[in-house]
Amino acid sequence: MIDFGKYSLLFSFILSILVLMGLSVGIKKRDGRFIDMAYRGVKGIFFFLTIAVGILVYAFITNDFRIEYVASYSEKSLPVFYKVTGLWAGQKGSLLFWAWLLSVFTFITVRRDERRANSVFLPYVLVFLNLTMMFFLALVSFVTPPFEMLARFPADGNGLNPLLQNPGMVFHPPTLYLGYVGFTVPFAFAMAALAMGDLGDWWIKKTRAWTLFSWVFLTLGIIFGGWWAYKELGWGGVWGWDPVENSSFMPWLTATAFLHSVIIQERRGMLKIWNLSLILLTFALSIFGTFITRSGIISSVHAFGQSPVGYVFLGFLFIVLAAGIYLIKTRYEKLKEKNPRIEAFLCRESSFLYNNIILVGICFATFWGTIFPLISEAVKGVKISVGPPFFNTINSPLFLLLLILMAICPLLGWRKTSAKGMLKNFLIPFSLMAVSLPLLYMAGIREFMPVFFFSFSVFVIATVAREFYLGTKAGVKNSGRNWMSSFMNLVLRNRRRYGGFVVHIGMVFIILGLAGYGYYQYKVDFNLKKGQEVTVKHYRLKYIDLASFEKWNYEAVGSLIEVYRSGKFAGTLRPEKRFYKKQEPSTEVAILSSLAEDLYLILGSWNSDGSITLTVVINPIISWLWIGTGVVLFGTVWAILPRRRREEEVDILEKDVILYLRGTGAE
Amino acid sequence: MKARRKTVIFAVILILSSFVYLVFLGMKEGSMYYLEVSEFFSRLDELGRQKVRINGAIVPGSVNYDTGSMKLTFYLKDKDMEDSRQLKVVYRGSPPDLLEQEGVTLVAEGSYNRKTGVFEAGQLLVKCPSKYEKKEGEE
Repeated sequence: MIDFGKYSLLFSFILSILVLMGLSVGIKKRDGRFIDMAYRGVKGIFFFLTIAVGILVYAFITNDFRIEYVASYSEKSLPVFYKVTGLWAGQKGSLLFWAWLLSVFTFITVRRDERRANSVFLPYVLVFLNLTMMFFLALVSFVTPPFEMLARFPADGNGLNPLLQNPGMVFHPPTLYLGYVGFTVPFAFAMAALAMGDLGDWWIKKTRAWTLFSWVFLTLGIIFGGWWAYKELGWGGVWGWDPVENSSFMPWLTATAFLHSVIIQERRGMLKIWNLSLILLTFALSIFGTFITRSGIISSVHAFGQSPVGYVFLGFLFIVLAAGIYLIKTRYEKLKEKNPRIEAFLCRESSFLYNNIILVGICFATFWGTIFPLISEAVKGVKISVGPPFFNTINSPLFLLLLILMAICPLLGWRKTSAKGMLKNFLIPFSLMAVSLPLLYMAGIREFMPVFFFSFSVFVIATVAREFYLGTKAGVKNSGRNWMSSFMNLVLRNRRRYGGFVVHIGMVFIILGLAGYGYYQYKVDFNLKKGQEVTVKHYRLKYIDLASFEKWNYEAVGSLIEVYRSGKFAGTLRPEKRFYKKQEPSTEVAILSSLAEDLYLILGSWNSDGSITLTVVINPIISWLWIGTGVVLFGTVWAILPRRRREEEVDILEKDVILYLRGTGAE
Repeated sequence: MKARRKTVIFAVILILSSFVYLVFLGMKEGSMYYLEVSEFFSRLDELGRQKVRINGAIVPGSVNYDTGSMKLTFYLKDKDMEDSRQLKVVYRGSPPDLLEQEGVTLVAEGSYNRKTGVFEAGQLLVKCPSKYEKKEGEE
C-alpha cells in the first residue's frame, strides 16, 4: 500500500518528463499526435497524484504509524477530522498537497480547451504548467518523500500540535495553497503569450476567472491565518508583520495590483509589460515566500522546520525570474507597439495607475522590512530587525491612499474628467463624508489617521451606493422597467463591475476592523483573588472560580469569569490553559464578541491560593474584519459565477495558426 | 497632451518620493538591533538605553514569576553555548506559554538598565523548541 503511494509519485514524475518531451516535439514538428499524448500524460499525473494523496489520507485515518510523516503529525486519540488535516500539517504533506492541487488545475485547464479547434495556445501554456509540476514532483519524489518509512514502528504517533487543532488553522493552509497554486495558471498563460509572441489580451480574458479565484483564496487564506492567531495564540491581535505573515501578504499585493491593471489593458490596451511583470512577480513572490518560511533564513516566531528545501525553492525562484525576464525582454519591441498613453492626471486610467504604484509600493516596503536583517548583516555585520512600527508607519498612509482612490476612482471618467462633471460627481459622497466628521468626533475618534480612515470609509460606501443607484436609474429610464427589476438586471448582467464594488465594500469593512483594533486596542493585566471584581471601561469582571479538568487528549485549568456590560449580566467566560499529553501547553482565550467590540480574556497564571493573573483586552469593531471577509467572498463569487455561455472566448483563430492542433488537417 | 503627460509623470514622482520619505521615517522608528546575548554584552557601551531585541535561550530553572507584582524574571544565555554570560531579564505582565519548556528560545525587546544591571523587556516573543519542528502547515 505504502509502496503503491511511493510508486505513484515516481510514475507522476516520469509522466511529467514525457509530457514535456511530447509538448516540445509536438510544438516543434507541429504534430498534434504528440500534443495529444501530452494531454493524456497530464491526466495521468492527476490520476496518480490523486491516488498518492488518497493513500496518505487513508494512512492518517487508519493510524499507519509506519510512515514517518503520519507518526510525526498524528496520534490515535486525535479526532478523524484533524487526522485528515495532517495531510498539510507538515512540510512533506504540504508539498504533496501543493503538487496535487497543481495537477488538478492543470487537468481543468486541459479539459476546458482541448476540444476547441482554436486552442493553439494550450500546448504552450502546458509547457509552463508542466515545468512547475516537474519541480514539485521532483521534490516529493526525491527531496521530501511523504511515504518515507520508519525503521521501528512506534505504538502511537507524536500527535498534532495543539495550536493546529483549531478550525481556523485547518482552513488556513489549504486556502492559501489554493491561492498560490491558482496563480500558476495565469502565470503560465502569460508566459505562453510571451513565448508565442501573441501579446493581445487573450491570455487575460482566458484567465480572468482563475485570477479572481486565486485572489479570493489568497485573501481568505491570509485572513484565516489572522483569525487563527487571534483565537489561538492569545496575544489579542491578528497581524504582527512577522516574516512568515509578510510572505503571504506580498503576493496578495501584487495580485491585487494585477487584478486592477488588467482592466486597463482590456479597456484601453495599455500597460502590457506591466501586467506581464505583475503576474510574474506574483508567482515569484509566492515561491519566495515558501523559501523564506522553509529556509529559516530570517528569524520568525513561526517555527517551521528548517530544511534545505528552502534553498531548492530559491533556485527555482531564480529560474522563474530569469526565464520570465528573458521572455519579456525578447518581446519588448512588440510589447511597446500600439501602446496608448495615459492622457490626463485625473482619469480612470491614471487612478488605476496610482492604485498599482501604491500596492507595489506597499509590497516593496514589506519586502524591504522583511529582508532588512539579512541586508544589514551582510553590509554592517550586525543584524538589525525592523518591527511592526516600521511597517505601520509606511503602510498605514499608503493604505489610506488606497482607500481614497477607492473612494474617488468610480467618480472619474475614462480618458479625462471635466472639472464641472467632477464637481457634480463628488458633491454627494463628499458631503456625506463631511457629515461623518462631527459624528466621529463625538464617538471619540479624534486622531489624525483614524479620522481619515473612518471618514473616507464613509466616502467609499457613498460612492459605491451612488454607482448602484445611477446604474439602476439608467435602467429605469432606458428600458422602462421598475426599480426592482432594473436593479436586478444591473447586478445580474454586469457581474464583474458590481461584484467588484461589493468587494470594495468588504475591503472597507476589513480596513475599518483593522483600524479599530490597531488604533484603539485596550490591554490591561490584573491579579485577582477568588470572588474579586474589577472594572475595565464599561465592563465589570468577577472572578468566580478556578478548576482543573480532563478532556480526550488534554488536561486543562480553566477559570470562570462573570462579565457585566454596563451593569447588565453579559455572560460567563472561561479562559483556560490546556496541557496536551504529547505536546506543549497552550492558552485558550475566551472572547465575548459583538459588532461593537470584543472582550478578550487570557488566563496568564494561577497560584496555590486560587488567585490568577488575567489579561483583559478590548478590541473595538474587530468583528467587521470577519464580516468584511464574508462580503469580499460574496462579491468575488458574484463576479466569477459563470455567465450564460455567451461565446466570449477570444477569437484567437484570426491570428496566424502556429500549429495544427487536433489531428493534422482534420477540419 | 504633452503637458498632461507631464502632470502624470509629476504625480508619479511625487508618490515615489513621498514613499521614499516614508521608508526613511519607518526605518528610523521601527528598526533596532537584533543581537545574541554575547553580542549584546560586547556592544553594551555603544548601545546605552537604546531599544534592542535580544535572542537567547532561557537558563533552565531561572524563571521566576511573582503573581502579586506580576513581575517575571529569568536569565537568558546564548543558544548553543554552555558557559555564555547570562543576562537578567525583567518583564511586567503575564508570562507567555511554553516558558518553562526545555530548549525554549525567545526574543526580548526592551532596553538595558545600567544601574540595576537588568534588561527591562517590554515584549517577549517565544519561539517553539526545535524538537517540535514544523509547527504550522502554512505554505
